[in-house]
Amino acid sequence: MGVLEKITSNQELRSWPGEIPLENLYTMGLAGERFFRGIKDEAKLLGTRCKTCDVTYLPPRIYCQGCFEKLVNWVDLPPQGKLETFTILNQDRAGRPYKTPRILGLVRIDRSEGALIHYIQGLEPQKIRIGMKLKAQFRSSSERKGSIQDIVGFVPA
Amino acid sequence: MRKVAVVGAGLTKFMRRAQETGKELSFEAARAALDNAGMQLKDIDCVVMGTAPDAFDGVHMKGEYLSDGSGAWGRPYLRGYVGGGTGVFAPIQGWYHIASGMFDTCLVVCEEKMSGCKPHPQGAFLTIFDHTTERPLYPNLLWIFALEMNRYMTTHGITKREIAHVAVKNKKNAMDHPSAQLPMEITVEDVMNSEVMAWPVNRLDVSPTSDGAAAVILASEEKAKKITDKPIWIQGVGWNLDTSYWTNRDLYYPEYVERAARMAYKMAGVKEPRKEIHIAEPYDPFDYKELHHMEGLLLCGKGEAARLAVDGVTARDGDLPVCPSGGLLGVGNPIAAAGLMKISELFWQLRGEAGKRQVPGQPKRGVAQAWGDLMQVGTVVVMGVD
Ligand SMILES: [Zn+2]
Repeated sequence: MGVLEKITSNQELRSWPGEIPLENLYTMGLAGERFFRGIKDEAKLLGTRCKTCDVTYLPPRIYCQGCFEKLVNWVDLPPQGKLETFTILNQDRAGRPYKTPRILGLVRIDRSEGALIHYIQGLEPQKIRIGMKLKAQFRSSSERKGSIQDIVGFVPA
Repeated sequence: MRKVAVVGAGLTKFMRRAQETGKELSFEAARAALDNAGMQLKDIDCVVMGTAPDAFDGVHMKGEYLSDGSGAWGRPYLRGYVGGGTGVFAPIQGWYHIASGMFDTCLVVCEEKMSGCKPHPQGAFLTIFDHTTERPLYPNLLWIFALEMNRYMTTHGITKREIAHVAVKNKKNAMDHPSAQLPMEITVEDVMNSEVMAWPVNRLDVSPTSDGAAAVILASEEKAKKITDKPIWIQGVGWNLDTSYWTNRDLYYPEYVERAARMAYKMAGVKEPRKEIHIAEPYDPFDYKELHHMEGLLLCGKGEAARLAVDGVTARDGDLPVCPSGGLLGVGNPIAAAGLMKISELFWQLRGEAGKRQVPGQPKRGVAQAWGDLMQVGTVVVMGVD
């Protein structure tokens, strides 16, 4: 009989607890810095545009992934778009049931090729339709910190 | 196998803390390499990314994360990682993509962003040691390298003062490198008087942690000749891994570097490296490592490298210029990018385009080498003008 068959619990083995003790201070980056300043200071969404490829990047990039030109053309985008897909969440990540189901959607932002995932607010699950128009609801300026959570969620436009 | 050439190279500045993300650094280096070669992204058939532990960027599968900044969107893409050896291994991977006949051009990008990693990027290496016989003693890489340095010094009767000449030389060479993070004019005395971190390693014996990226473009013979009048050929490649029973070998000599070097020299037709190699860029995260690696690269006998440093043989205008770039000690050590910086240096030196760093005498052939994992991997590339 092999070792694997004898051991039914790894607690019976001598073991040594450990971890990889690391944290990270992530850099926003050149594009990220400007994008989140736009959200924090002006409650607006900024994209970058490649005229050659006719693409508007949201979240913005400082380069076009298609032609690899440096992008310097920043554009204001309307904080609204079309719901492209969604899911209704009944459990949190640990498997505990939500009291009220939450809706996570993918919203394609108008006048861009980009989309954001975010929570959909102010709608009963049965009222949600793919293709419906939604707009971003920002927190008040004093509450905004320069994070994607400065947007509370997307609500019907 | 087909001949493969380097046709362009580009670097970001190496710095303590970059404002750019890893993707943005990768883009800057890749774009610079394309511009250097007079190419566009559409001319690139495939992309190789070399980048060290995911933990540095704090992103698992960071090869995928970095891909769009590396020009890999919609292309065959490979991320390679052999610790500190990565920066010279990535161009080897690019080489076999083309030598095999599968692709005609390959963009090789190496990126490292170490500044975000807290409390210190060395933390990423705390778990590379044996989990029961070593980790409970909390060793870090610096301590292990101190053991290696002492063993090397004692075996050959080399002094700390002699080794310090390497730090002085490389930091001075870096004063002429536009990407350099730690260029400075210092004396052997300064190295000796700098803080002792883990004897015999002092602060100025060690390279810094850095953010930065590097890129080179490789091409098949037919393509290379269309792209440039001055292709620099990859004449030989070699790589080798020693056991991770690292305590079961003698640390005074890097056998794995010698094996990798012999593989590369054989392919390049180099029989007497001391005569046939005109310029060397061995991996120098510590000053003693440059010497250790010169010996592994068979550029001198065992225990002889320190004398060459003291006598100025390895100075930029010496008989065998070693790390004319300024190396990791002077230019900086964004791990994978630092190795590819050495390949870039050979490219510019062999083309006669190294500016103030140009070594005299029109060098015809050079060798670059990197080292990593648990002091066990050697990666070697021989490059030349024909
Ligand atoms: Zn474009």
